[in-house]
Amino acid sequence: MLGVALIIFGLSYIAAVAALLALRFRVGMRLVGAVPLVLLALMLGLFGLYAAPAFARYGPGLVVSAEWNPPREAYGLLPALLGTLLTSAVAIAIAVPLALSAAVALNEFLPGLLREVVGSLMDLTAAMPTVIYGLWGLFTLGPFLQRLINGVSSLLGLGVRMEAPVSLLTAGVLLGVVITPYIAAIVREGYALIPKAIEEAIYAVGATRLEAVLLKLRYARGYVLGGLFLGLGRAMGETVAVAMVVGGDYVHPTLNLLSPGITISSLIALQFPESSGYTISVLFAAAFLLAAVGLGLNAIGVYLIRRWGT
Amino acid sequence: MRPPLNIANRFLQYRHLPPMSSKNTTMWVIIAVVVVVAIVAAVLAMQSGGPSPPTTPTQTVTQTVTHTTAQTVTQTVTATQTATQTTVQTVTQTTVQTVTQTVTATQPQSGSSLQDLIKAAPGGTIYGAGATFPLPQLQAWADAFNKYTGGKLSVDYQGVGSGAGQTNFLDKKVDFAGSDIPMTEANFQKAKGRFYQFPELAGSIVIAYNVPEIAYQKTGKYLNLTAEVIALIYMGNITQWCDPRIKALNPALANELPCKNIAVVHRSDGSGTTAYFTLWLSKAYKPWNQTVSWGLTVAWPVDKLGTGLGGKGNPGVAQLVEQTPYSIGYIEYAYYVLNKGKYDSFGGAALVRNDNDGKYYNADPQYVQMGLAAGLDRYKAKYGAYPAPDADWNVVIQELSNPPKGYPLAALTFTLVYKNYTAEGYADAAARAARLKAWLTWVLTEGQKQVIEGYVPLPPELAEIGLKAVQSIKP
Repeated sequence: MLGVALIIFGLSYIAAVAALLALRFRVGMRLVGAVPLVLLALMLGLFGLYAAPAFARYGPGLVVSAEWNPPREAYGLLPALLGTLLTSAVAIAIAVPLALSAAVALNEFLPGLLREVVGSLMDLTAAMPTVIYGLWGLFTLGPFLQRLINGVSSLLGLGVRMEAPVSLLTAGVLLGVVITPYIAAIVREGYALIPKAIEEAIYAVGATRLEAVLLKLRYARGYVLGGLFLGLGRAMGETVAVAMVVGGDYVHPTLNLLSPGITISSLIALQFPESSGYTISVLFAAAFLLAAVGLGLNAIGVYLIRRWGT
Repeated sequence: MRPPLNIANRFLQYRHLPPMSSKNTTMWVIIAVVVVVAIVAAVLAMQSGGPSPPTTPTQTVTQTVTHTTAQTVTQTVTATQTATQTTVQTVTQTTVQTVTQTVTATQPQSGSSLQDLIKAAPGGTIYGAGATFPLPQLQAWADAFNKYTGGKLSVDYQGVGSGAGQTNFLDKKVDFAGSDIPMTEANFQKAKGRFYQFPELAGSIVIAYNVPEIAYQKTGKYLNLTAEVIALIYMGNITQWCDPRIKALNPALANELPCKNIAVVHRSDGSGTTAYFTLWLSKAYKPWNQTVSWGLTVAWPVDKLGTGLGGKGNPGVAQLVEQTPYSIGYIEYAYYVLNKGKYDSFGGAALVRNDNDGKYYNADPQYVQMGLAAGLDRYKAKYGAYPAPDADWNVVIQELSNPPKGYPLAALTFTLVYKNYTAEGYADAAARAARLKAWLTWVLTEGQKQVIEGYVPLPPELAEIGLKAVQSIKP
């Protein structure tokens, strides 16, 4: 088996290299560039193909109704869609300020050696498997948030508002922590690329430290937006860590962050292993929906970056 | 200049290095060496990972010959087993062992005993995939079986989930599959009459609760619960621990039950545990069957009210019950029993009433076995015989659930095997079937004596159904 795999991969690799070398450079690069596009199109086509029975049977009701009842074959993805949008919004709201301050602090205020150490530590946290974050969320973050929220709401005379450690809020905060190092890494890059001349000009007109930072961030706004949308994509796609802390309520569409819910990707992660019949098709429809929402948001992102980014 | 050098030279120019001429052969040598190494490595790997030696047709012949004798011999063995059971229980195991030994001694040519099955099987690996519930037990069994056969046979079981296990089995990617629930209706119709399914292990589900006021360590008592009350809690009708319907079942704890909202915890992933829990509620409390029914995932009424909590896997549910005061959840016994002391400190595991005999039971393995045996007897009384291994077991588990006596919340896990591996188009069918027979016979006899804590050995009557099926597997 291993031999066959080696031959197939090795030969196709050698063939591809030879073909690329023989072709004109520009044509070869265009071919390579087209591969991801073709793969993406194929993947979407595959999702659509597998999801077709579900769309044919349930129609648009699949997206706008709330139901998850495999014994009766009734499905609706509204809670998952709402949950995905809510948790991602919370995550972005938490991660962007954190990431911006981390990037600015690293580039502006920390001395050289410390900057290196903290910078590589942040990159390390970006590379940590998210299931570790999930365990931390289940054992530490969830109970902490529950105590915090209930403490505040009791002080305000509202009583216990958060009944359990698992909720959409827990998932959102967890996602915020997960994506912060990603956004920070990109903003840091952009910040470091600001030309020395611009920096000197900023100080030359008598800007204070705060004004200088704001101006530089404005100069690097393309990177800030790019980091934001990359982080958003990751937040929407995160599966295991969210599945552990989101609460797994498939049938109750809610805008209340303190109640348990579900996101599209955690729904797929939780339900796929034991699915059969229409459930599989519905889960592919959910994947299609997530891809569509992701593409839509990224299109907005590209538009914004073009409009304001450069 | 030829194109490869052209590109290489552009790169070198960019790096401010002297360009390569076509006479400069270093690059060509490097490419040639890489290609040669790749081909040599591929050839070597081919030889090491090549196909195993084919089995001779004579082996297949001896296999089929032994079948007929095998059945008669085991029948006599079981006859003696039941005879000895009536006398003294502790002696049973040793006497049965000596009986099998004498039987093999008198008929050395027959393939009846486990030893002969192992001897007949060519060395190799048995591949399985499926349910995660029996995974720890299957791993322990695989190790023990490997030692038992002196390293000749090994078992590779992937815990991919029951649904994926059934699909892999139907696609013939594995020799056997594990599944917490029997073949689903749709899958059963696809392979009807071509496969056997039988339980190889049992377990049970406990109802764990977190109510510090009535913790076992404090009161020395566990909560009494019935199917009706549990169903009403999961339906959102009973919302507080001080509900009169809970108090009525627990007169001794009535004054201590706090008026706090119940946090209802369930599995958020599809699971056999959920299937057996909801099946029991469906059988024991009719309104549940009408409103919710049963399955690997159900639409929890408490979720619609927004008061239900979902945990991922048994550890997730256990963690939520532990962290959330005034919660209730269903957990596999295996996960509960390892942390019994912890549960006793903040609550405990409820004693569950069997509505058929009116008694309260804990999830002790003996009561689980009692329940399964009683359920099987009820099936026999209703249908005239023990269930056949090629029947639709969805009907059988309906009878096993909510049994006439014993702990009512038992769970089973099933093995799926084909009847005839040649007819299914398996490569090396004879060898596969021989290995599989040795493994499953071991699981259903020796394996049942080596059940790790938290699981429940099958009652002998149920193991016998599996044994008969295994004996009639054809290569």
